[in-house]
Formats: sequence, structure tokens, C-alpha cells
Amino acid sequence: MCSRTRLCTLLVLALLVLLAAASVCVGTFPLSLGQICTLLGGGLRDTMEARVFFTLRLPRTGAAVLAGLALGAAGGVYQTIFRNPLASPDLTGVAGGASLGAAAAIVLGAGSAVQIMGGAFVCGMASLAAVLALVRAARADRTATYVLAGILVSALAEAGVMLLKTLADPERELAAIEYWTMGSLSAITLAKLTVMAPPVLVGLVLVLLFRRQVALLSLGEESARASGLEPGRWRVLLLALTTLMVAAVVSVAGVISFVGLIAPHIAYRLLRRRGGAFLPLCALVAADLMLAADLLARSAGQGAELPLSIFTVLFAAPVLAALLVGGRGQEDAA
Amino acid sequence: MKPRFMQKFTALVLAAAMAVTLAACGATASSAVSSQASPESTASSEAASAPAEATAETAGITFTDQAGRTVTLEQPAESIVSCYYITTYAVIALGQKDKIVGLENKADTRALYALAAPELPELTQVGTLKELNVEAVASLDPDLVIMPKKLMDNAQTLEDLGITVMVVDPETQEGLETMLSLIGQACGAEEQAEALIQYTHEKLETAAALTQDLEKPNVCMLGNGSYLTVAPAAMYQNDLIEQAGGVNAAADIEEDYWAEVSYETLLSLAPDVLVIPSGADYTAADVLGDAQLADLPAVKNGAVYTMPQGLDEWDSPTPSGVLGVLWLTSVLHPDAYSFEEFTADAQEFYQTFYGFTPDSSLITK
Repeated sequence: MCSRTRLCTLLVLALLVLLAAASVCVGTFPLSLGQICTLLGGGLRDTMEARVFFTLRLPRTGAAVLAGLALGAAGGVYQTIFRNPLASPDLTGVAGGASLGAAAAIVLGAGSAVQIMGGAFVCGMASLAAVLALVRAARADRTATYVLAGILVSALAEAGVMLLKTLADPERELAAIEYWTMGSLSAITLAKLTVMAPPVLVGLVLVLLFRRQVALLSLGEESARASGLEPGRWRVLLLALTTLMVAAVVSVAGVISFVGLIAPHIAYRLLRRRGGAFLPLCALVAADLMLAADLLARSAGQGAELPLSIFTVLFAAPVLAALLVGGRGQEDAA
Repeated sequence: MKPRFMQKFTALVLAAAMAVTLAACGATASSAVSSQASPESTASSEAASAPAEATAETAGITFTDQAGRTVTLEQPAESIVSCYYITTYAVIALGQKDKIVGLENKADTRALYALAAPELPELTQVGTLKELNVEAVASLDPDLVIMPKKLMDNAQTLEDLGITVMVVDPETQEGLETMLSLIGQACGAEEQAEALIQYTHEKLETAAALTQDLEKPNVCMLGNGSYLTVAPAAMYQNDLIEQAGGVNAAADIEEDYWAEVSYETLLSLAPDVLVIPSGADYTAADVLGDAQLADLPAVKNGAVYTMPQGLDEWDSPTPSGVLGVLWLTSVLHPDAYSFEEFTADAQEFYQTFYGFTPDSSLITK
């Protein structure tokens, strides 16, 4: 591990710890730093303080970190194996498809987060398959082809969500769908975290273990085959894993825009390469972004929470603008 | 129930079609929609319409709320968090406003609080219908949280924190009355609840008798955001029109909620009277001045009325909902029930249940 990699990783990790600590301390319920230390030390059992801290506050911080790790790793994998700086859960239609799946599950009366996650996963995979097939049919593996195919599939998914919104019961289902399309961690509880955590952790561990295969796939089919890798099979496996992670996040936190797109760009700027520690760094950067966005979402409005995507898009805009002005998008596409 | 089921079925088919379209673009076809429809919503609305059974024993108070949940209190609630304005109004109307320790956001914008309970907007605000701030509720540690069905997902979270929750569903006259008697039981104010329900019944019967043999004009109740939204048959506003001796011109529109309509549809509904709700973002002058609506009978007759804007929300199922019926009765049938009579009735209502007499300048049409 070169010194630059080590320094960047340490910096991002330190920021993560700092933001997580802030995230645990900020909230409407009055909890002092002293009380939190006592709680973490096992004190104050069976009090309202303990219940609020362990079923609301801590799970919310955990969910922000996990959602960030999942979206960042997914974005890193997409950009690497598609060799495309714009490949991300948002632009490849996976996020749009997953939200259609979640909305369909809600309108059909899915009660549990697991059912909603199932809907999100199936529709997310279908969207991704549609985008890949369109790109193949276009016989042009260029940035514009991916973006256009992604726009097409996302638009179809969005039309589906709009249709479901008009059919939804305005009293309960509509609010739930509305909430899905903007992203929020305000309703996270320990129970929801335990639904989201297993698929995210399994996906994350496997993706990080397979990061050599991810790097090999980025060299193109021929090179991958020369290294003894079956490119088609590995691509499907890796995409299924990342879609599973994204679906798990979408099912409890809704659609969180652009985190999966910009985290890999930030990680790339820090590392200046896409191998080695790139994927873990993507995940950590995205976790930082999520924690920061969630902190702002719960403290910017007085009393009321703001949707997460407002802040993630605000974070993304300067990064994407820099990408555009720097001309990197075209360079990679060529 | 039946149209709802049909809508869900249509949604299923269309969503499946959408998914198949997506999959058809790709080489791999997959059936994309998981179809576990749960009977939950049906069950809960049945529970809501069933009469609430309650047993007040020395050991405590136990009742079934409007989501079919069993609620147990050791004694009448002494501190209450109310999650939206209708439940807050109900608590005030039952004479229990001193028990409120937290309420919904934007309480300072409600005229009724300024008149009946000016201290309420100073209290902790706990969120909106879109989002309940669970930590804020927990910080108040109330005996009872009253929330509408829309926020029900938070009920279990609060129960896990050890806070008692009661879910209400006052979307119909019957549901409103059930809600009032449940809140009455929970706060030990059964008599006040009974008095309010009794008053409502008497006034509704009087209104029905007054307009029984009169010609019923076609009425459209317009939405808050735009005058191109109307209340269809499934809404509370439809009952309000019928109880006031009118016919809902939009009764044939199949929607559960505010229906968006085009100019053409509104013209074809041809209402004789248009009613603008108290929270509207536009005025009667906007409607009368819209050249596209110049041929509408209501516009030609100048029969565009606005519910009073600085007092209460009579177009909603609030405890004062009966005043909405009486107001519309006096608007539609001034010869049978004059606006002066209505004004006097409204003033008496607020004096009896909210403890203040509104100035007659607040009661407008």
C-alpha cells in the first residue's frame, strides 16, 4: 500500500468517525455527551433515554453508514466494469427500476420491508438487464449509449411510478411512495436496520473480496478471458450483488440520488487510479457523504426533516460540474 | 371496497405490463412483480367502521382504536401529544386543551388556535402528516399520542419506546364521532364527547328537515390548491353537500381523493354553485374572472362562495364539521335558513365547545 493510498484512506476514515460521532449526538431528544457515554458503557438501562438511543439514534447512524457503503461500492463496481465514468445505480436505471418495484409492492399491499425489498430487487435487475440489452443492440459501448439507454429505462420506470401514485390510496400509500422517491432515514428503527443490514453486508463483503475480478473485467473481455475469468458469468454475479445492495438500501431509505455516482469520482481523484484500495475507498467516501447529508437533513429544517436527496444532489453538483469542465467525461468515453 | 380492489388489480396488471416491457427490452424475460397482496388495509378499515368497544374498569381504560389496535391506559391520560390539527381540535373541543404537551408543526398558522387556545402554538411541535419526529415525541414522554392512520407506521416505534398510541380515522361523519368518543374515553371526558355528538345529530336532523322538500342545486366543492380540483363521491365533502340539501355535481367521478379535472369537464358538470374551501390559495374573484369559466351556471349567477378563512376548517371532518353543513345549508337555501340564523348558531357552538365567541365579521360567505 503506497503512502498516498494510506493517507487518503486514513483521512476518509477519520472523517467517517467524526461524522458518525456527530450523527449519534444530534437529534431532537435531549441526550448529552455524558449520557451517551454512560449508555454506551451499559448504564441507564430501561430508561426512555436508552430506548431512544438504541432503537432510533444509533440505528439511524448505522443505516447512514451502511447505505453509503452499499451505494459507494455499487457505484465503484459499475464504473469499473462498464469502464464508464457515468455508470451508477442512478444513470443505469437500477435505482429507478428499484423504486418502481418498491412502489408496486406498496400499492399491492406489501406489509414488510422484506417484500418491498424483493420488489425493488426484481425490478432493479430487470431495468439493468434492459439497459445492457439496449447497449448491446446499439453495438456501441460508449458513454452516450449507456446514458441514453439509462434515460429510456428510468423514464419508463418513472412513468410506472407516476401511474402507481395516481392509483395509490392517498391516505397511506401515496405518502409512502412520495417518501421513497426522495430518500430519507428519518423512519429508520432498529427493526428496519436489521432487515437492511444482512443483504448489504453480504454484498459488500463479496464485492470487496472479488475486487481483483472487478479490476480484471475492466481490462475488457479478451484480457479477462486470458486471465482465466469467464467475463459474462462474473459480470452477472457482480451486478446481481450490487443490485441486491442497492435494493436493500432503496427498500428502507428510498432513492438516494447521485451518491453512487460521485463517491467513485472523489475516490478516483484521491487515489488517481482504479485498482487496489479503490473500491473500499468508494464505499467509505459514500458513507461520509451519507452521514453528512443525513446530519443536514435532520438539522436544516426546524422540527421537520428534509429529504436526503436534496443534499446529496447539492454535493454532487460541484463534483459533476468539475468533471464536465475538466473534460474527463469525454476522455473516458473515447 | 370494490372500486379500490379493481384499482389495485388494474395497478397490478399495468405494473406487470410495465415490467414486462422493461424485460422485453432486455434479452432476459423475468416476471418482475412480487404479488403478495395483503388483506391488511381491508381488515383495518373494517375495524375502523365497527363500533368501538370499550370497557372502563377500575384497573384502567381499555378500548379498540380506529386501526383495530387495543389501547390500554392505567388512568385517563394527563399529558397528550396530538399529531395533526383535527385531533388537536377534538381535544380542545372536549375541554382538555390543558393536557396537550405537544402538537403538529405550523400550529401558528391555524386561526382557531389563536382564538381558542393561544398557548398551544408555543408548545413543542412534533412533525407533519408526512413525517412524525419520533424523537421529539419521546422527549415529551406523554401518557398518550393521538395520530391519524396516515402516520400509523410510527405507532409500533413509539410503543417500543414505551409510549401509548391511539390511531384515529375521522374521514367520515361516523368515523369522526367514533374518534370523539374514543378521545373522550382516553381523557376521561366522555360527557363532553357525548354532548358534542348529540349537538351534531340534532343540528344535522334540523338541517335535513329544513331542506327536505326543496329543490336541490348542483354543487361542486373545489380543492385548496386549484379550482380545477373537485371533491368526488368518495370524499367527506360529498356528504357535506348532500346533508346541506345539495347534489354533488362531481359525484360520478371515480376517485378516492381530490380529482383533477379539465376546464371542459368542469363545464360539463355545470354546477349551479361553487364552494371554495377555507384553505384555498385562490379567491372567488379568480374563479369569476376566468374567461374559460364564463359560461358556467355558477359563474353566470355569481354563485361562487368561499368558506370563512380566518376561523376554522368547516370543509374537513373536524369537530365543527356540522357547521360546514349548516353554512352550506344557509348558502344554498337562504329562505329556509338565513345567514343570520346560521351566524348565531355558529357563535353559540364556539361558545359552548371552544369557550370563545367569534366575531360575526369572521363568519362570511
